[in-house]
This record gives sequence, C-alpha cells and structure tokens, in this order.
Amino acid sequence: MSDAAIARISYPDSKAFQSMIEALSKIIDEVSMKLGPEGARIRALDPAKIALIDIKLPPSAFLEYSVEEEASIGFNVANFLKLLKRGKRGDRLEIEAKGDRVTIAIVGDVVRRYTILNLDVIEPEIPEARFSFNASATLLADLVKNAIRDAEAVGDTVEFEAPNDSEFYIRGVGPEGSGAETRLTAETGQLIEYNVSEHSKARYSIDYLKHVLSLTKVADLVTVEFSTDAPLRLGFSLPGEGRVEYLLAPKLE
Amino acid sequence: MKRVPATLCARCKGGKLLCGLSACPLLERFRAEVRAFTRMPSTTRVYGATPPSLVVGERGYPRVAVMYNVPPGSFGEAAKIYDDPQGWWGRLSLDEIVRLRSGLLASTLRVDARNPWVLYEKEISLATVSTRPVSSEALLEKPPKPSLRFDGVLKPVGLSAPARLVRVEENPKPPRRLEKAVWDDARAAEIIGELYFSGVDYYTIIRAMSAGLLGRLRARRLVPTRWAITAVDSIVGETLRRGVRENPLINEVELYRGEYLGNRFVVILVPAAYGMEWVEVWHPSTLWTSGAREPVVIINREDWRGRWNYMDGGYIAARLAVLEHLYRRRRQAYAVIIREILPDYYAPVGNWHIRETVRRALQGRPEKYASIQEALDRAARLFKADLRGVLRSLKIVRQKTLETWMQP
Repeated sequence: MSDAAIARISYPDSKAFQSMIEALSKIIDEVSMKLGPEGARIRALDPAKIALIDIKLPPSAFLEYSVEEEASIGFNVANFLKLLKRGKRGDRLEIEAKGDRVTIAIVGDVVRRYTILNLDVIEPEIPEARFSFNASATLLADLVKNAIRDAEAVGDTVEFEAPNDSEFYIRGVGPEGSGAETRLTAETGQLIEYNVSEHSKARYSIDYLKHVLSLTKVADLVTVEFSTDAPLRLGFSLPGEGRVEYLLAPKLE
Repeated sequence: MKRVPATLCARCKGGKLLCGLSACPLLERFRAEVRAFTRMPSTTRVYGATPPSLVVGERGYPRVAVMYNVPPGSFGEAAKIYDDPQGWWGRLSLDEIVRLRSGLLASTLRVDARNPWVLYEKEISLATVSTRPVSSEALLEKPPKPSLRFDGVLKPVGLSAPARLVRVEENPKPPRRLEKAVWDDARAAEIIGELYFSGVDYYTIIRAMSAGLLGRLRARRLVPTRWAITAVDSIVGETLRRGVRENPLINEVELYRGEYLGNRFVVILVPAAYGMEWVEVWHPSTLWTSGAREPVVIINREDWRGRWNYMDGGYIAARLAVLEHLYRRRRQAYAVIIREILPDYYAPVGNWHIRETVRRALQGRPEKYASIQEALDRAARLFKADLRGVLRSLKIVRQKTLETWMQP
C-alpha cells in the first residue's frame, strides 16, 4: 500500500455529523461511506428492511474534499458515534483514509485524533426505490418533532393524513380508539409548502420515526411525503449543503 | 379497599409490587389457602440432603436471606426430585410439584451479599452446585413455620426457619468445569457463556451465579435468585442472538406447540430478520386475574437489536428456548410466541416450566405454512381464548417492509 492518502475530507460541523451518525446507529451496526466525485454518500437499510437512511453530502458541503478516485470508508457506527461525542459544538471533523486505516480528527481548541481500521463492510444490494407521493408537506422540524412526541404519549403508531391542500393531520393512535391530534393549516403558515394530489392517509411506527429525531437538531425544515398505505419519506436539508432522506415502510390498520 | 386492575397483576406477578402495596394481596391470600398442605415438624434439628436447592432473597439487599433447602429425612437420589425441573417436566402434575415443594425446609441465614465467601468457607456454596444431593444438617433457632411462597420466577418452598448453623456433611461434587470457574477471575458474563457451551446444567449455572461463585474475584456477590435467573437467561440469550442474526433465514413459516401445567404454547417462526413478539393470555380466574371478566392479554416485543419493551421473567425464559433452537439450526427467523395460561394453572411455580415447555415444543416436528396469515389462522384455533383480534394486530402482520416498493 502506498503512503498517500486515498481520501481527505473536512466537514465544518462535527456535531451535525454526529446527528447523522446517531440516526444511522439506531438502525444498523456497520456501514460504509462512499466517496466519489459527486460527494459522500451513505445508504443503510435496516436488517428488518423497514427503514432506509440515505445521506448525500456534495463536495461543496465540505471545507476540504480531496478524493483521488472512488473510495470507501467502512466503520462500526456505535464506535464512530462514541468518538464524535467527544467533540464540542463548533468543532471541525477531518477524516483521512490511508491504506487500511482511517484517521478521524475532531479539531477545536484541541485536536483529538483517532485511528481506526477501515472495515470491509459487505454492502447489501439496495435497489434505488422510485416513488411518487400524493402528499408532500414542508414543515418546521420542531413541529414534526413535537407532534411525534405527542403521539408517543398515547401509543406506538402515528397516522399522517392529508385530506386536501389546506389541512394536514399528525395523529397518535392508541389502544381502543384513544389518540392525540396535531392539526396544521396553510393559513397559519405552518405548512410552508403543501401539495396534495389525492386524499392520503397512512400509519407508521413511532419507534422507527424516533430514530431520525436527532436530525431535527440540525435541519430547520423537514419535508414529509407519503401516499395512502405506502412508504413515508422524510427529507432533512442540512445547513450549508447536503441532505438526509429517511424512507419508512407503513403499518397497515 | 384499593382495586388493582388485573392487567397490572398479570404483568407484575407478585414480583414488582406495581400496585404500590407492601405485599402482594393475591399471594398472601393464596398462601393462607395452601398452608393446609404442609406437614409441620416441631423439631429444631434438621437432617436431609439438599437436592441441591438454594434461594437467595432480594428483600433487604445487600443484607439478604440465604435459604438452604433440605427435605427433612430424605437422602441421596430420593432427595433429588425436590428440585429437578428437567426431571419433573411432563411427569409431575402441578399438585405433585406443590406437594413436593411443600415438604422442603428452608434454613435461612442472613448474609451480606457483598461477602459471599462466608458461605464458601462452610462449603455451602459448593453444595448448592453439586451434581448429586449433599447430606446436610441444620440447627434452627425455632421450629419451622409454613411459608409456601409462589412466584412467577422462583420455585415455591414449603417451610422456613432462621438457622443458627448449617453444616454440609458430605463432599459436594460440582461439575469439573464449574469447579475451575470458581477460581477464574473473569467477568461473570464470560464464564456463564463458557459453562453454558460446555454443557453444564442450566439450573446449576443459575445457582452458581446466585451463590456468588462467578465473576471477578474481588467483585463477587450473592445474587438474589430471581435476579440470577433473569441474568443468566439474558446473558446466554444475548450470546445466542449475536450468532443467530448472522444466520440465513428459514425457508417456510413453521408452527410448533406444547403444553404443560395448564400453560399452552404456540411458537411461530417466520422467514424474516430476527425479532420477537410475545403474547401472554391469562384466563380470568387464574391467580393474577381473579378480578377480570375477560382474558387479559399482555404483549412484549423485541427488535432486531435485542431491545425489548419491558423485562419479564416469563418472556426471557421462552426467548432463550427459541434462540437455542435457531442457534443450533444455524438459522434466523422472526418468532411469535403465544402463551395461554388456563385456569388449571392455579399456583405459579417458577419460570422453569416456560423454558422447558418451549424447548420441548421446538424439538417437535413443525407444521409448515406458506404464509404468516395461514399459520396465525391455525394458531387462533389452538387456543381456548379468542385471539383472532390480537393476532391480527401483531407487528409482523401490520408492519410492511420496503421490499414491496423496491424492485431491483
């Protein structure tokens, strides 16, 4: 192996990166980050095949992005998260892959440098899913977070309903008809963008939705897209550039 | 009087005191009823062989009660049957087990859990992990009182009295592998795994854990038996689970069944990523549900990561049996375990029978089905309670996967 680094990248906010890794850690143990001319990408399908996380960070999201050719960095998600937790707000994250080693540096007032093994993570074939969604809403991330927390108080299922293009409901579904409801309307400005091409209603597991709540700390806006009894797609736009998408299979009534 | 909902009792099983009372009223009443069973010796000197049998109490931890159980007047193989879950299974009725256990006398010593060595010095610890009954003598402070206690995790014991002295009168014969483990300065979790895979009797491992014979030498503790049972089930289960979730899936939906002591089990294995759902159905007029009109249903779930909704002694015993089965077959599956408790189960006698019944159920030949729905329809017909609604709401039925929408 040569001594030259095969990839060196530097991300401006280690805490934002931590939020992404935290979400990944909820659904999978090991993952590989692909580095190419288009940027960095992590795709992880949970072993029960119920949820998929897709992280895309273009080169412009990084302070430094030097990748000679396609490179892949494989790591244990829980261990990586442990390292990231040592960082503080405002710290920078530097990752360098060289041979079979990866050096991770958290750079703030002090520089913390960790060297880990670049794991050979077997990548499952994950076909690109193609969807059309009949309802699509852009909301403040906090609003979604609170609605899910409210729903959690009554049960383990959340129901999204888009009856028309002026109202949007997020409901907690509890045992024996109990429930909690959050009603969002276009007039109050809560629905920043809202398109409904067909009345849509679907239910999802709160446990699985909670996995990505860590991302509401770094993304201000969330897009919620779904169709009746079909998968849900949550889109988080990261500050600077970059996007995380979370795809979740429905629960049937 | 305070009314306690039956669903709470069925989850608590007298162990967690979820109702907030200082003692379980159901158990108290029940204990009074079965006192009639017990023959009462009036002597303070007890001879007999421990089968072996040991209970470490949890009250007052770390000053715990160590109950060294001996059937007065029984020795050798005749003493063995007083504590022998594997030997009991399928042979003894609930009445017979209760009667046997009511003939067992607990000589109780108060010991600091942080100093298990006081029991070791007197050979008491080794006697409790012996493969053969061990003749013993106890001098009691006063004549024994009936104390038949029932519990969802522990086996009942008939009589008890504080002991001035417990003397082991014969050399205990612990399994060789375990004898070595006693001087092994390694973490308990590691040693338990080794003992399990080298074939040491499961119930002996639990007693070794409880008697403070396992773990880092300087951190040895007496472990209340109820905690020790759950600890061993979860430690061994975790090791097996790590193996199982790397295995290929089974090919078809399989249905297994078993019944013992008024407890009916159906296990459905589904070709999908590991995970479990536990459905427990208590008929009205069982001990915990005397106040209920309709069967009480409790559901516990575990995900691929091994995270469950709540810790339950019955669930974790059944789960162990399922994991053992999958581990041995080198296969992975999603399991639905249904336990129906019929009114005949009038006295809870511990969680051993759950572990053993599910183990034996899984040794049988499965019925095979092409779909989960067919297997659940079949399962619904195997129970006395109407479970169709409950089974329809299972996560494995309602939660879809992304595969439907992801065509390559």
